Formats: sequence, C-alpha cells, structure tokens
Amino acid sequence: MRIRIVFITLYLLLFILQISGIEYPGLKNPVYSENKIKDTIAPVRFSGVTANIFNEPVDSVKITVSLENMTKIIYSDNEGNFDIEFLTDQDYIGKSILIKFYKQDYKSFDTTFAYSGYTNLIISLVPRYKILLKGRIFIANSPLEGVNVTVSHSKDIQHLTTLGCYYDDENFWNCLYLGMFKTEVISDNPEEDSINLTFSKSGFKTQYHNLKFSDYSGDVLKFKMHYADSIPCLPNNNLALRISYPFGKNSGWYFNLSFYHRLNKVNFSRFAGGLEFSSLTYKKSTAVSTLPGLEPAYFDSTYVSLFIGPSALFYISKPNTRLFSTYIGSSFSINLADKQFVFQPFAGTRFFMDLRKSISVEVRYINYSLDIRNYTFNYLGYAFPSTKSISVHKLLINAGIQINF
Amino acid sequence: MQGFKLIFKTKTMNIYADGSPSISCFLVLLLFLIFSCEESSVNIVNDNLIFSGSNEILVPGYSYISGTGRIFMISGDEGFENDITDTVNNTPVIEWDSASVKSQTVVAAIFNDAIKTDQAGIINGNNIVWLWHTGVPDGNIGQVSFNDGYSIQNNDIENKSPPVPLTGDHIYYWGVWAFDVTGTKIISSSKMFKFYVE
Repeated sequence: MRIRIVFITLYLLLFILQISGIEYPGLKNPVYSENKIKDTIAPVRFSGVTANIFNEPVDSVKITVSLENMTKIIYSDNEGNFDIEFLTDQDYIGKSILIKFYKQDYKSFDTTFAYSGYTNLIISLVPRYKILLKGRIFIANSPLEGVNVTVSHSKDIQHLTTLGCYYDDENFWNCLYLGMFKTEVISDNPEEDSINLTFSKSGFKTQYHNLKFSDYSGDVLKFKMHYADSIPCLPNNNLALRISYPFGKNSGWYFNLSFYHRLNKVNFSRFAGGLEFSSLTYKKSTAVSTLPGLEPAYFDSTYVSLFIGPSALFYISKPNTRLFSTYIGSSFSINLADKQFVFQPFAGTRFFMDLRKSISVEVRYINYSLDIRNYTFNYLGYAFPSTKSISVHKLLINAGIQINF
Repeated sequence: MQGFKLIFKTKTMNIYADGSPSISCFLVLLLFLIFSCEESSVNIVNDNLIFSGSNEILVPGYSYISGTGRIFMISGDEGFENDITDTVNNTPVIEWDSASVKSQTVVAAIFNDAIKTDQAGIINGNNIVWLWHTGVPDGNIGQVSFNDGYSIQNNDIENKSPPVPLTGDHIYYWGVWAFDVTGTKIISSSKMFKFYVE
C-alpha cells in the first residue's frame, strides 16, 4: 500500500513539472526537441528568378524540385520570382537537388546541383518557336465550313473545325472567317520539324498535307477539298427541271418538271416513282395556196402540248454515285389536249455538282398525236380554218438540274 | 437628301454546309419562266372600211382619161366622206395609194351591189363583176386599168374570163383589200366606194 502511494505521488509530481515547463533531465518533450533542431540544422531553402534570354521575367513557370524522396511543385510569380523551402531535421548539405522548369512557350530546362546552403538561382529560359497557323479550306471556289482539321506536330495533336458564318455583335451576318481555321503550333526545332494536316468531312475525300515548320510564312494557307466518289447520305426526294433545245426541223422546246421519291427499302433502293409535268412545243409551217399566179404563202404555228402523269425510274448504277449515275424509266402521262395516254421512255445519267445538286442529261422518246391547223384561202376574206391530226415522233436530248432533298 | 442605311441580311436564304442554296430560289426562277411570256395585241376598229378591223388602204382622189379622150374624176376617200357618187365610163381605172398597202397579196373588185361582209369576209362575192389581184400579170399595185382585170363566174376565182364592160346607167361599188403574208387574214382594206356608169 505504501509503495502504491509513493508511485502515485511521484507520478503527480512529474505531471506538475511537465505542465509547468520546468526542464527536467530525461523528460521527453517534442516542443523542446524541434526548437533544438532549429537551432542546430538550417532548412533547405533556395530562391531565384526565371527570365528569358532577353532578360524579361517569365511568370507561371512550373518548377519541380526533388530532394531525395521529397518533391515540391511551385510556380514563379508575376515577376518571375520563386522561393522554395524544405523543412527537415536532416542535414542536406552536399546532397543533390533536381530542379525542373517547364512552360509551354519555352524549352524545358532541368538541372541538378549539390545543395550548399541558401542559394539564389537565376534561370534563363530559351523560348520555343511558335507560329499561328492559319488556313482556309475551299470546295471549288467556295469556302467550306465544318471540315474536321487535325494538326499533328511532334506528339501534339489538335483537332479543329473550320468556321462558318455567324451573326456578329452588331447582328450582321458575317462570313469573314467562313472555312477558316487557326491554331498555335510550337516547335523546338523549326528547321526540321514538320506539321501534318489532315482534313476530313463527310462526302469529301480526306486530304493530307505536310509542311515544314520553318516554311510557314504566316499567310493564310489555302486548301481545296474534293468530293468523294459517292454521296454519303443521298436524300430520297428530288425535284428536277429539264430543258431540251429545239434542234432540227419542226423541233420545239421541251420543258419537264418532275418530282421523284426513291424507295427507302434496302432491296428496292434503286427504284423511284414520281410525277412528271412536261410540255413540248412543236413548230409547224403550213403552205397556203393563195391567189392564182402567186407562190403559196406559209404560216408558221407553234403548238404547245402539255403532259402530266406518273413516272417510274430505275437506277442502273448506284443512285448515290457521284459521277454518271445512270437510270432508265418512263412516264405514263396524259396529253391534256386530247386526254390520250402518252409514254415517254427515257434513259439518262446525272452527276452531282455538290452534295445536293446534280446535272442530268437524258434521251427521251415521245410519240403523240397533235391537231394542227390548216387553212383554205378565201379571196373574199379570212381563210377557212380546219384541223388535221398528225402523229409526232420526237427523240429529245435534254439537260436539266436536279435538287435532292 | 435624306440619308438611308442599307442593310443586307441573308437570314432568309438558307445556306447548307456544302454551300447549296435553298430550293425556294429554284421555284421562284421556275415560276418566272412560266409566267413571263404574255402576248398582247391592239386592234383599231374602223367601221367605214370593208373589213372594219383592218388597216386602211387610202384612196386619194384621181382622174383618168378614157379611150375616147374624156377625163373622169374619182373623188376617193374625200367623196366617201361627202357621199359623192362619181360618174365614170364603162371601163373605169381603179387606183389607190400603194404606200398604204404592206402586202403582196391584194385584191380589187367591182360589185354590182353594195359589198356585204360578216366576220369571215365578204358574203356577196357573187355580185363581183370585175376582179383584179396581184396574181394577174397585168396591172400594178396601186393602179389597175379595167382591162387588167377579168370577170369571174360562179364566184370562182379560177374560173375567169375577159372583162366585160360595165353596164351603163348603173351604180357599182368597188373596194380593195389585202392579205397578210400567210394569206389567212385581211390586214388592210379600203372603204367601199361607188360610182355611176353613164
């Protein structure tokens, strides 16, 4: 029991001594230990300034410092100054320190040195070569928007898209930058580095271009895209206007306006049905015997025949073929003059000017009856009119434009 | 001068990504082509002419000398206005202003009755007693003597015979008309004149 009281008293005494801060040999005190180190070992600390080769301060330089198993990352301030301190209880005098400086616009710089106490470093960074690469992409003579541009340089790959028109701040429709792209490219070795450009867009052939970094003069580069061999998403409807020039005797103008809808079924995608409206002018010169002793007179009449009716069409080659998509078909139209059915078989081909518009050239045969006027001369007044029915056979070569939508 | 601001906006014109214009432009162009052709004509009606819808063949007053040396006066358009009946011999000379006729198909005729017409033309062709036209080798446009023409039977222009001198003490009517180049329409005609054959 006595022994227990002695131990408790001793313990309380030690506790009082500890909280009162009185030094006592053999007592472990952490505050006491740290202050002791501070007095004996200086922290690892160095500072410096980052500048470029023109002695201009460089800010926001990423500085990575490695000391044995410790690493610190800091950034230089607006005036290029940086300051690093490692609090440690060890002596690092003579130990090597690895320090790296990195900024996008400058060449990376790293160095290793032996720590010999507080040091003030002056780091001179060498700027990297930088260009603002500008280009404009055309299809024929029209700037093309929405082209995917890939700019590859070293390990950097940038993905861009050419610009379109837009409404500016004053609400004007601005197409100043239509089809343009620009990006910043940085190089360490401009004499040997090259830039690879890739242009791609649906419906166009992918284009590849290379240029040497040092060859770029700063101008807006012009590139031309070319249409792909097929239309990627061919619309099912098309509206077409065809005109035939009146070659030959008795030939007239032929106008045709048609609407076709291509079937959306997989196995019948080459079939299309539609409605055609066409008109054909027919020029006829008729002789009239007039007064005895005079040469016959001639009167020229132009007859306009109108046809309207359904039509069917079959694409021999794939309908989305860009050049020379050939087709055959026939319309089953009604001659509005005599209400007779008229077949107009045709064969044609078309080629696309862009992704929507195409030019078609067609051969069409038409056979119909036409009532023409005849006159019998009347020396006492107006000639006596009469009607004569003739059969008209025409092989027409027409050209037209189609809009697919 | 009041200033103005011209603002261009292509907001209404849709431009697709590939640069193709909208279909509305195509339709507007098509409608323009269809409705841009229009024909107009103006007809001047002159009821004094034989064919009222035609141009006038002028007949200025003139005179001619008969085979016996007598001089006969034809008052022409002026006589028509004043309702004068000229007196002529039985082989009168017919004249008109050739400059007012723009045709090579011209007919001149003397009727023994007033000339009657309807919309198709002269309906009393059987009253023709003397006829001349440009298919006849004799005579010129603008001046025809009686012997240059001929007589016809049964209103048949092909069935012609030498001219028969007009019957005396009788009033005759005469006129000139011309056809267009196609021979199907009357484009010019004179007034209907009358004279008295002594």
